Amino acid sequence: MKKTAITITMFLIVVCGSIYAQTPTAEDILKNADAVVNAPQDQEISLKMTLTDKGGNEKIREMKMYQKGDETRLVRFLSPADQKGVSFLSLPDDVQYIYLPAFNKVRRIASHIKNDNFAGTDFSYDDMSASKYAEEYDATLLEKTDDLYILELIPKPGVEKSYSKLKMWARQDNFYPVKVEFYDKNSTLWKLFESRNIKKNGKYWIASEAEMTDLKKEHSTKMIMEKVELDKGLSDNIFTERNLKRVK
Amino acid sequence: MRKFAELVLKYRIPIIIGTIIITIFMALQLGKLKINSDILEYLPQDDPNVVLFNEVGDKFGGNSLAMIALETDNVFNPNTLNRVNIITQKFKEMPEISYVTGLTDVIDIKKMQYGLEVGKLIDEQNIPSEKDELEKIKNYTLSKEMYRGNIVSGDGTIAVIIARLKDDVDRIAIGREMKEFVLSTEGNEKLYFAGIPFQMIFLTDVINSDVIKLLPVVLLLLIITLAISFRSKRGVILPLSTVIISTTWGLGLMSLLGIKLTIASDGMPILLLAIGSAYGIHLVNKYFEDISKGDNKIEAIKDTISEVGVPIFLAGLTTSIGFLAFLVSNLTIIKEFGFFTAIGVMFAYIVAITFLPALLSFMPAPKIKTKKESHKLTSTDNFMIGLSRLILKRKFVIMSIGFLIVAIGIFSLFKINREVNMVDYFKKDSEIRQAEDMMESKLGGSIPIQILVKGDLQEPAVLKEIVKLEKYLKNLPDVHSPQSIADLICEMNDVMNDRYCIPETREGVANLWFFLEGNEILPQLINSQNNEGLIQAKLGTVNTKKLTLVTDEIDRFISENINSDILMINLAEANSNQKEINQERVRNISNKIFYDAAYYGFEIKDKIDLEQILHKYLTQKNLEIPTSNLTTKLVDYMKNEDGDLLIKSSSLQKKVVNSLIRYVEKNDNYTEKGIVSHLKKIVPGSYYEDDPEMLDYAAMSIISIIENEIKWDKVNNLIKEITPLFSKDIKQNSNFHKNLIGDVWEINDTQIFISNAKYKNLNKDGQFSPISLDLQQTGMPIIYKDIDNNIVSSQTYSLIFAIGLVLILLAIQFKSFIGGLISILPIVLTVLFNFVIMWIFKIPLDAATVMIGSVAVGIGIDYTIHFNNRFHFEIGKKNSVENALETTLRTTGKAIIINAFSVMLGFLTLLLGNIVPMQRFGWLIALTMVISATASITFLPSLLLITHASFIGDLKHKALRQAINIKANIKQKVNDFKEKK
Repeated sequence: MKKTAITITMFLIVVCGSIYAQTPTAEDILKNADAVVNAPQDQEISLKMTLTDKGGNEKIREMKMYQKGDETRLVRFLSPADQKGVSFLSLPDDVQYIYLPAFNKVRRIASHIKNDNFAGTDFSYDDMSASKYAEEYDATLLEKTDDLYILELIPKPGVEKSYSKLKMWARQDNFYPVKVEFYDKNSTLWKLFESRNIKKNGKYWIASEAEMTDLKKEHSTKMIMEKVELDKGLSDNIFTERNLKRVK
Repeated sequence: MRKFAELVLKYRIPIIIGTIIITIFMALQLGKLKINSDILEYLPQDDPNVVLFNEVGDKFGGNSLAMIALETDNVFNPNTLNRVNIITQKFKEMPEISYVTGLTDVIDIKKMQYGLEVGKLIDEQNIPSEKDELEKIKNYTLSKEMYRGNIVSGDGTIAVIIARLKDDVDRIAIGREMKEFVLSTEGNEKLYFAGIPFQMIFLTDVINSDVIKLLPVVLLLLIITLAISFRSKRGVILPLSTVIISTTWGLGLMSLLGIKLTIASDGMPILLLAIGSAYGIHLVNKYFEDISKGDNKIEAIKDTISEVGVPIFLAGLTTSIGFLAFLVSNLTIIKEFGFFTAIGVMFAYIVAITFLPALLSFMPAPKIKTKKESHKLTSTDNFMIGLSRLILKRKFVIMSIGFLIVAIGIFSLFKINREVNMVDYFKKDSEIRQAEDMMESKLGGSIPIQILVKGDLQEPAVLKEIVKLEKYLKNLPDVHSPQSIADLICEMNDVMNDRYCIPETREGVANLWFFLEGNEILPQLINSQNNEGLIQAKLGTVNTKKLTLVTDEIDRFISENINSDILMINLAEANSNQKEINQERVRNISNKIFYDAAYYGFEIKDKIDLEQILHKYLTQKNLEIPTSNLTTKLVDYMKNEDGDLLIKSSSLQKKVVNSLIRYVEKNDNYTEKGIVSHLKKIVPGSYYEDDPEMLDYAAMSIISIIENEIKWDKVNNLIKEITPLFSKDIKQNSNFHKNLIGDVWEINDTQIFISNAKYKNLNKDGQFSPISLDLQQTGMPIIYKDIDNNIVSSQTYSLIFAIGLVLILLAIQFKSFIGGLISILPIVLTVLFNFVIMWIFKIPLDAATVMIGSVAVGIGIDYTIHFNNRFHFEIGKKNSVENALETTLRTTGKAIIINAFSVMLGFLTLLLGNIVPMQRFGWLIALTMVISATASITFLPSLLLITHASFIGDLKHKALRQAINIKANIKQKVNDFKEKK
């Protein structure tokens, strides 16, 4: 229900925005940016991840990701070979499970380590979770270019983040965030996130390429969505401990 | 030389102006003179150990560890933890620091009730403040070997923050910044700063303050000595300006060439002042003598230069040779010290012979009060006369004493301690020394031992070898807390599967690895391609002898016990060598148990018994199914709501489980398919009809449960059987128990790792590609050892070189090889006596004391030359030997003693410094001067008299004539007597 409400709001804002050519508030832009990213009901994505270190060495990981809503997700690793079948299940309220095929064991894992990077990527667990910028940050509109809004995001009082501020570039036509800069506590640029190839897939906007660069580590993670299926009506059974083990 | 004197006088104005300009220019360079306190730069940068050390630093985020320790009653209190966190956070923000580890920022792999957690020991954003929680964290932290003795002391009173500095940064500047920040944080904890960066800061400061503190003292001493000797202003000013100018030149040139002041060369200014003053003194002395003889000013200057120019040059040259001998050293700092001191000495000579006379020529001739000729003998004269008689009477005794010292000296050469550790440079009560001593006693030291591993680090074979090495390392004296990626894998395996060991398969390793991926600790342990890694341990000793012993021991273990060419083979495929392989496996497992037992203080009563039990379990064929445990596990499995096969009815559970157990008991080679069809027979179709894959997954899980139970049963039984073999109850120490299970678990392995070279027959067709593994030791201990070796070789070669060159020089001067040989003996005696003193007073050979020998040769040779020259001159005067010796001692002998004492005073000022090796150097070289002077007025004349050295003069014939006379006398008396009769 909430989702629909947001979508409608977004729609109204877009429509109204275009009618009155009025600039929406920074908060609205941010809410819309969250909404457009989280819009699909469910997603089944084949992903290819390329990790590049500062020496230019590349590591490739392939995985399949099932997502329902914005908090339920199953990730299966398909390569490298010796990690094939390693699977993650994230459920609402920070409940996470991992399955290790080498030991045929499922274990619950604690996830309060939000600042740690997920599986060698440049995304922290926090970055990986659903786009909820509007809930956690206060936004101010810095600039409006021909087709982009540039926002500055500061964590809301009481919200602990490893970033001091964020800078976000969102498209004016659909609010899709194309670039986010993450600044550390010293206000130096730390990470850079970019979405590329943003195209319409059915009724949703989807970026088929995303890249996160850790400027301190000189390490980057590029994700290419090789196959994206949306609103397939994924069954809840997919997101169970029992299914987590079912790797063949 | 007279022509040269005329030239000097002709161009006296350009000389004075030129000298002043050069001096001002050089003085301006002094401000840029830097101090180098980096021990690594002592060695040539192409030294293989340095290359490897730098390579490792480059790959793993730097080589320098800076450690901040906070001491209080119990560090697990909110204030201390917050302070640790503030410091850690600040360090993490500094771009020059690659990694920071501390209580509030360290990986933690934790078992939890329902699963596991890979996170932080203490969450920096949520530092506990409740007493219970703090107590819980304290107990947990102190129970883990990864933390205890590393980031917190075993008693919980000291917390340590370890920062790894990047390789290409100014460690002194960063160290200062870190220190300043730490001191600015609030708290009551006592702070310690340890590790190389802080040692470097301290050393730099000490060198700085020593130079500033000691120079005025030496200058003052010099002024006093000059004032007493000459009792005239110019007698003070001229030699003083000579040495000040030449020392400025020497140091200025160093600065100009970008050479930094080091622990070796920081004594250089003092040394130059002490040695260089002699030339000016000689010149002024001679000038006064000539003036008093009635020369006019200009003539006196010419006479002075032409008469003493050459002897002073020779003295300067021999002294320079002593220092230049250090060029044969491999150690950069010693080479530099030798070269620039030699240059400085030559500068002193040049200034003394050009600038000084030029200046003198502008000064009015002094009025010399003609000394009242006094025929009264002074006490020194009396002493010298007595000495000359003693020598004549007891020459053999003196010579024997001399040779005895030489003999003891040669013996002591093998007894001298060596010390290269930087910590040893500081006084015991200094801040840095206290910090390092505390680190050593409570946290296993600050010197990292590093072993570079080249091999596939996701390969169990490689990881298992690392574990073996680490278990061994733990037992080496003074080696503490070895750590590597293998420990993290073992820790993960323990959390996941309850066994602290490396998984059998590559997939197993890779699966566990998954949790570690992206963790900050990884780049400190492995490179990004996972084909190079680091084993790190700490060395808790600064003693060079112990340090060398440990590094040699590690190298020996690696070459003898680490398999570098590993064949991974399925046990079933190694049938032909099974017996041998089993014996090897027993040895392998039992060795690990021995190491662990020794480390945790458990004695093994009967090692052979232990091996026999292991062998029994390894060769056990028919495995019994542990029915009751298995039943419980399978029932649990079927009860699990999230499991593959949920059976709610307890009667059906029992039925299915019992039937499954019967099935596997009957069918040794049960398969997944077999289990599936068996399940279909007993589980009602309603359970799996909707989900056709359910039984496949269930069979997979059931097999894994069964296999796991069988393995556990085997391990538990084995542990039960070996328990009585230990001196104490193994459960008393949970860490030992954990390690023991890990060691023993290996009996379950079906993939085994053997030496490819040893079992060539198993890989005849090359069907298996062997896994290669290469271990190389690096780290500070190896660097220290390298420096130590180089100090020893520097000592040997520079001494041989200096003595050899001086011998040649002397032989040429006396036109006699024997003459050279005899003249060199007092110096050899002096050098060896120095070693005797070092041996008796346990003074180690280090970067400073190594220089004494050659310096002694360089300066001591002057005494021999002076003595020989005068003695030669006196003998030439057709004096009797007795008279010649007496006169020589009363003139030159006295001068030698006075010179030795004044140089000695100069060196003794080094005692006021703060660098221990420099202090030792100061008093040792002062003593050496006295010994050298003494040897040249006692041992040398005795030798000359005994050998009737012909190069000195007609000693033998004089003696012969004397003897003939005496004989004739006696004959005459006998004849007279006969006649009377």
